[in-house]
Amino acid sequence: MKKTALSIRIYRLLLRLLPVDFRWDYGLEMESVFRQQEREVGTEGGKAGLMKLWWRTVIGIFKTAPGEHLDVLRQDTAYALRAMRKNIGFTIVAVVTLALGIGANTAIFSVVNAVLLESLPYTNSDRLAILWSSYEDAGLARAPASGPQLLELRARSRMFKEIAGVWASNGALTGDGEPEAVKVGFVTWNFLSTLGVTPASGRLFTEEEEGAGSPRVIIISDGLWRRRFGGDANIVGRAIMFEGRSLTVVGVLPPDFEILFPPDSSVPADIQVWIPFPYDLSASPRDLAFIRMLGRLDAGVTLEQAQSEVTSIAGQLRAEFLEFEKVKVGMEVVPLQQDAVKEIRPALLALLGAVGLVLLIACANVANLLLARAGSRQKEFALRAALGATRDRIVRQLLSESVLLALIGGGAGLLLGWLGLKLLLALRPPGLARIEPFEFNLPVLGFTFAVSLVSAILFGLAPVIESSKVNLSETLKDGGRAGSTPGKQRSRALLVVSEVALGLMLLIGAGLMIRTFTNLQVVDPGFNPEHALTFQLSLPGARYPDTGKRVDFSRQLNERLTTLPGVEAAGAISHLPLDDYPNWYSYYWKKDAPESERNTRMADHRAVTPGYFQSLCARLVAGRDFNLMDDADGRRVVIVDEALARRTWPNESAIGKVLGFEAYDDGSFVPAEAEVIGVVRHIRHHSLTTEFREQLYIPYPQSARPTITYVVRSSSDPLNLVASIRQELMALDKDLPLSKVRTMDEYVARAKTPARFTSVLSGVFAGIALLLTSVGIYGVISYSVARRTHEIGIRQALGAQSKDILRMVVGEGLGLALVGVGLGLIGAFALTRYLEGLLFNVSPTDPLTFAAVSVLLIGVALVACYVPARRAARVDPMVALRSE
Amino acid sequence: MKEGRDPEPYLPLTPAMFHVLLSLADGEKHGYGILKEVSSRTEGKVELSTGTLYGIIKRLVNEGMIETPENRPSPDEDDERRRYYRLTPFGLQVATAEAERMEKIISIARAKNLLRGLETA
Repeated sequence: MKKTALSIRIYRLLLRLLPVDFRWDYGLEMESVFRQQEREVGTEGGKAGLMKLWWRTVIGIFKTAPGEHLDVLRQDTAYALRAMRKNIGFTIVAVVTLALGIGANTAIFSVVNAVLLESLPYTNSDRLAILWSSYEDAGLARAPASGPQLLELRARSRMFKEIAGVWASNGALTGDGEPEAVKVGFVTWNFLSTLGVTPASGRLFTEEEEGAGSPRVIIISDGLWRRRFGGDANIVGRAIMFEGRSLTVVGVLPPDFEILFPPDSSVPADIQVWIPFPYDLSASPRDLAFIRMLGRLDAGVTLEQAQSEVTSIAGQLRAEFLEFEKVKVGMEVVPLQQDAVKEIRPALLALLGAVGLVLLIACANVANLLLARAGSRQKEFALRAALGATRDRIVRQLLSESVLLALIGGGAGLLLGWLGLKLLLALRPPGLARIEPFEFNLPVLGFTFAVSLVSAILFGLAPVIESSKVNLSETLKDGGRAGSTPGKQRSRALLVVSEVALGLMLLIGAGLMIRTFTNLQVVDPGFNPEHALTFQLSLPGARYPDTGKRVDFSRQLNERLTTLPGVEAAGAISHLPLDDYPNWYSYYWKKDAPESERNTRMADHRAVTPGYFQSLCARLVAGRDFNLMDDADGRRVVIVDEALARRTWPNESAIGKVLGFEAYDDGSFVPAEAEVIGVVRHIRHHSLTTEFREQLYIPYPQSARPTITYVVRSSSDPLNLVASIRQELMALDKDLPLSKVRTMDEYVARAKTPARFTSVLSGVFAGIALLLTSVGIYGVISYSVARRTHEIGIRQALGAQSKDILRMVVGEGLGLALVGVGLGLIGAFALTRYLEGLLFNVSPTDPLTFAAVSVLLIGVALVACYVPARRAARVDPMVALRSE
Repeated sequence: MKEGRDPEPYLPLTPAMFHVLLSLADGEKHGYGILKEVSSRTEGKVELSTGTLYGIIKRLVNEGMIETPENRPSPDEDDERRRYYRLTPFGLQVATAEAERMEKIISIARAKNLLRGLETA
């Protein structure tokens, strides 16, 4: 007896694999048949027979269950589709709403995935780290290292498998056709192997190829190989001309290789040629810092261990070498992955938050629609329940409708996301350069699917909860007024309040971004970018070996440029503002300052020719500009910016004062003293938003660097000058490539892209949110008006005027909007401080933005209420009273 | 209501389905009865499990090939959890069509002398 009970219990468990309806229909019967089978087999077939019966039974149920479940799913889907078709207006609004929410999420997530989540395209990229130097006295972090510093670190470190260095510069390829300017990475021999790159052909560098007197070799990028050398299969071993010298190509990098360093490392992504340092790093001065160090952590070494080792090595270096002690050198280990996305990360996270809010608002809206519809469908469900549908079945039906809606919305969202991503990439800041025009990969598809399902649960729950409260007989008796329970109206009001609150938070965020962008439009960078054309030249060392040759060239070119028709002024600078060329900054000090104060202040150093300030419309506030007399043999003079002048000689004129600094003289830095002859307005060199360091300008002949950028001010469209400039240059030196031909406006626009990106995108998302929120308010108020038609009729019969009705209805909507705005303001106060890093000249709790957005949202709410309110006010009391 | 429907789309039936229809051809039976009949007619070669059987019953009921009669056998010979099933006219049509289809195949096989051995046996 007990044995039977056990087997039946097991059988019942097995039956649970079947859909509930199936069990409901046939469960008891099946059990009874099984009992009979078991009894019979037990008496006739013995144990073996029983085993066979069980085997057959288990297999049978396992084979039947999937098909039956699929059947139910098919039925539910067909039913849901029918319900959706029956109410096509609702379906379209819901699908569009969801598509907007899901599409925005898909677009942003695909960027977040590509930039923040996917690992960098290097072997074991999680073990790569950048080693930054810091100079404590000057308050300088994230600085480069000197050659000896790298060698000492490499020799002493036990935690790093490899330590490598890179210094990016410019150079020109000559021979083989047109001269071409390229970005070059001078590297330690192990730099590329530390990254873990495998060459597409040839090999990487060997240790013997680095340093003075080593064989002259070069590795080129895939792009350069295809473009300049026509994909020559025999490129490896071929000699090519770089900066007038012959170098042997030893390798070509793979097409997908890219260098992903943080923007402030001055190691650009588009380096096309790689050359081992052609001089001994050990012979380079200990305080000549220009190398960016890259380390590969040994297996099992943690970041903390590496940091503590590096810190202790920095201590040893300070103790052993005066040069390191003088500047209080320190070192910091930062994972490359984290550092490479440092600048874009906050913007992406903010946008991810924004699209999250959009999705929540979309879900609230759809939930609202579903609630309204559930009201009119209550009778349908009551009827189905009365006909024997279980509650589970009805809930499942509702959920499958939601899931279907969400999946259709998700599909449409994927399409919208694809279009959105195109827009987004058109606006992308440089930090997003590595995203392919389109990549919808598995994680993105999975994310969209998951987001769709989560939204289905979010918006699908409301009607399910409501439907569980339905009282069967009441609903059936109630006829047409179903769904007017106060509870339902309350949950709809709650949804609208949260929509307004979420929308307000989003709008405020977007408002702050837009204010940031408009502030950027009016920021004064210290120069006038309009009508200014720029181009870069790199004078090759072979033909321009010394200062004299370079100065001669620059004077001749300047003369030719200024005589061109349409040119108002021309001049050149070693480091153009807002360009990504590696910065040049060093110490300066007041004349006769004690030794201890000579390493405390840094300024950006720039070499400029006469005419530069004029061509950029930079304002000289005191003294004079450089002229042709300020040459290599003349007495040393400098022009400083206001910041330096103020800091060094507060309340005094800087003109005529003497300043100490490090002059660059044919490849080395030497302490020098110079007289200040002029003061200029501060020029924003690195970003439009921040005033960086003080600035010090040296006459070009006194620091004749080989790479210079010309600025030519024109009276009309500066691009019209390009052809004639090219001619003049050809006449002077036909092998000199003209590179980076851009207007100054382009540099300024480029500096604005991050702000433009965040403000445009957050503006779009806020627009969507505003639209959805107003639709939500409109829906709820319309519904409420329809529900209260009878009441309104009575009021009118009792003497209420149209305007009273209008006021009552608008008041109801306004009440909801005000509560939402109140909650949204609290939320915004709590959250906008996380945006601080993205803002410029506007506080995260900017009262103007907060107020304007609140007024805007309340205004939109008023309009959304007004339409149904008018309808209510026009109600004919007789019709209204009969409406029951 | 379902008369006049074309049995063709339902053919060929799965062997198990055909056996269930056949077992009901000579009168209504309950689930266990169907199992027994199928098993004994096929000399134990086709043993349906409860899951398979009721999966088939559900489909046949949905397709209108079988039904549960309103009047059940007298209560004393009936288990209250038992339900009886019988062929509908359409079910009969489908079963007949399937049998005819098979017969045609058999006659082809016979014409090709595939069944000689069986005939002489």
